[in-house]
Amino acid sequence: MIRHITTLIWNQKRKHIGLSFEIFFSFMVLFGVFSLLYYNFQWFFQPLGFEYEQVWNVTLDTKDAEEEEVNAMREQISQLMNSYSEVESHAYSHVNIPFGFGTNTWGLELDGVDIDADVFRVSDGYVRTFDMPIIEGRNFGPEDDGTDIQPILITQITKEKFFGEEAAVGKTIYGRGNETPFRIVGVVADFRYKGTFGEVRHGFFIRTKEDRWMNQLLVKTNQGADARFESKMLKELSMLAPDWSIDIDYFSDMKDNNFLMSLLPVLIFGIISAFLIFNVSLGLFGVLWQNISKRREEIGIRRSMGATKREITTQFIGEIIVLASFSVLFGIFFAVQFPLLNIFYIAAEVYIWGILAAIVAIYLLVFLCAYFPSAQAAKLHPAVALRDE
Amino acid sequence: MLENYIKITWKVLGRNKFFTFVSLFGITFTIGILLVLTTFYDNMLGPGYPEVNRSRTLLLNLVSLHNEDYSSNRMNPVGLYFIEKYIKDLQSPELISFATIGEETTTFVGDKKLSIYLKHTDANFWKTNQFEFLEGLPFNQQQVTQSQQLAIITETTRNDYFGETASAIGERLETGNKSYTVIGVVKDVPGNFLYSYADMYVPYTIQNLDITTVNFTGNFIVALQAETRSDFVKIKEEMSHLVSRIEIPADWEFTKMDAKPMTLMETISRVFSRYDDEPPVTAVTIGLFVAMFFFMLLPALNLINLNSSRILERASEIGVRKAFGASSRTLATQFIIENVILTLIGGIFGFIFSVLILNWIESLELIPHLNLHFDYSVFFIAVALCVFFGVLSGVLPALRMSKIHIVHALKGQNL
Repeated sequence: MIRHITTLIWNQKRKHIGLSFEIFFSFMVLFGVFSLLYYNFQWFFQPLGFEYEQVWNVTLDTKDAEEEEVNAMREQISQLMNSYSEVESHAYSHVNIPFGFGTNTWGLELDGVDIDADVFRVSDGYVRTFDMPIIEGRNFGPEDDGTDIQPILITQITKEKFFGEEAAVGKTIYGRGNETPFRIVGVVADFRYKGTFGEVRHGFFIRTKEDRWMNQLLVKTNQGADARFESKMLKELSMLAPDWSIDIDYFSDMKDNNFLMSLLPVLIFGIISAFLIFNVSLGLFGVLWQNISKRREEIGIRRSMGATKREITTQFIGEIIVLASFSVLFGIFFAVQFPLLNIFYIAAEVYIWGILAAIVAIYLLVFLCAYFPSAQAAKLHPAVALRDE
Repeated sequence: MLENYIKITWKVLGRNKFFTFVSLFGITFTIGILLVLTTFYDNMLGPGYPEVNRSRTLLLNLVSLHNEDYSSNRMNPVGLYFIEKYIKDLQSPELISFATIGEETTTFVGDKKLSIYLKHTDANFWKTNQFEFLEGLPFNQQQVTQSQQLAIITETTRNDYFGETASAIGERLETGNKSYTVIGVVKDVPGNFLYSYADMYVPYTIQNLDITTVNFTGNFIVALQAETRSDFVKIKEEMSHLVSRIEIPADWEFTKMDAKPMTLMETISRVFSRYDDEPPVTAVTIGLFVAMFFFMLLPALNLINLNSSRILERASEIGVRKAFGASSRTLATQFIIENVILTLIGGIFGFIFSVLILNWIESLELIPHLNLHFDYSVFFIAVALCVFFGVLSGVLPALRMSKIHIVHALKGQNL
């Protein structure tokens, strides 16, 4: 059957080349769209690993202040924060805060396993401020003062990478090059700080107290914190550090902004592709309808020789399916180059799902475009079809 | 002759409404999207309020520092020391101005929180950019030197802070816990003009920045305005000469330094290059055209296929014309012209479509005060696109059609 259809297509190859090209390019477009969708939505339903609703982000622009000055000022700011009844907890962090643009990575290694991980330099209050679930061990705190090895928290996925099912607490791990040892005191849930579409990445939190760049003050507030309190807080902060420039925004706003910015390219590309594919399917439908209706004689002969309506429909749909298969094979050849050559450094899994989804979509599309014209043609009465005008 | 073609096209369009719809849908959509993209490109990179001299201005956004083997790099905006000590001495630019990248400041009006985006600028900033003043005047060189606490605000900021109708001149405005006297109100600046966009402008001298310590990086952007575009080469040469003369302190971890003033296109292309290489403007431009071509390819293929199978409908017409002596060439030309007329009709719809999309994008307010406007050049691009698209999708079917043998055509057989 397939061989027969292939011969039929080959006989009309010049006519079919345009169609094959169109299906091929549609396949590539669909492959791109589905890969992009999968890439962006694969983490969508996973928990973020932190709570941000009541948290404010205070950016301290310290201008050209010296390190000692910044450290001393943080002490004073902490006292001020502790005095507010509206503030539940507060913490300091480097610029790589949730929903922000900053990224900071460092290698972690142990016994030959070596990974790139996000490194967060944070103060003791960080876990409390973001309400991060502790899976194993404890948060670092004042009890770690005076230890000669720096205490860290690692995320769940990093723990699994190094220790599997075993306990990680109390173990020592090293910064790349075996230079810096860290003592693991706890394991926290995976921390998807890049937001709703962000992936689960390896990460660890270093307990940091004295540092020039701990310039993000994170404040978890309760219901009592309104605009009047915000204004008061800003005023008192500015009085403490008159030379600095201080700005407050809310993590809930930053989350919305981050969501929009991540969704926008997907949305634009998706809408354009949807229109392209809709356009192609209309065209395909038109071309097939035209081609099939020109084959009345053939239908008439086959019908009078005893072919059922079903067989006629099957033949036409079979033809387009075989034709589409050539294009799809050609398309797969190009599509698999992406994971093979590791273009864009994205996991092969993304492309494989993209290819599978594109195959399904293409077959569905050509089937629908061929079904209605074929069914229409099969309805022709042999006598009418054979009367050649 | 043309009138004839138009008549024929009209008749052909009316013959099968479904095919006409499919063709026009594809063309409208394709042309529409391409027009949106060109308008965007034009508005993002071309001159406009207040950066009217954008096309003859080079921006120095980044100063980069590297060690010997490029394993340690730092790229930051320009420092004030560098500007005062070196850049101000440049001879080839007609005018030099600078401003900070800007910072968000917070203020409260009653109980309402208001974010004000603040930039520190010099006096020349008001010369390189042509702001439209609704009230008052810009600050001048003397006021900058005396570091007076003055502010120029935008219309929206005035309305939010002082109320719709009030005059703001001479009033005090407090933000980021500092107090300024308002001396001017300007029309809102669209957010796509990164150099000039802000809600409020104040003299850079009030920051009390240290300009005695050697420090090339900071948070300024410098605009170098040339008399004409042809002076760009001269400015770049003078700048690279200046940079090569700079001695980097021996105790720094860095040994190399670069600071390249660039056009916007160069700044964008820079993303694709490594460190201090020349930005691959040509490659990026070619890339854009290739992307556009591929975007047009699918609708064009669709149209080619559609047209090819529609020739069958017109077999007898072709046969008759051939029998009366029309050459293949005449027929092919006729078919291409018909197709171009079709794409031009689609182009008109596409134009309307793109206006709707652009209005919608503006209403989303993703970029503050965005004002997307059509240029004459965009209109010409639209017509050129239509013709290109029409010819592209018409040539193949036309060739096929013109090759048909008279006898077959007249009989209306499978072609």
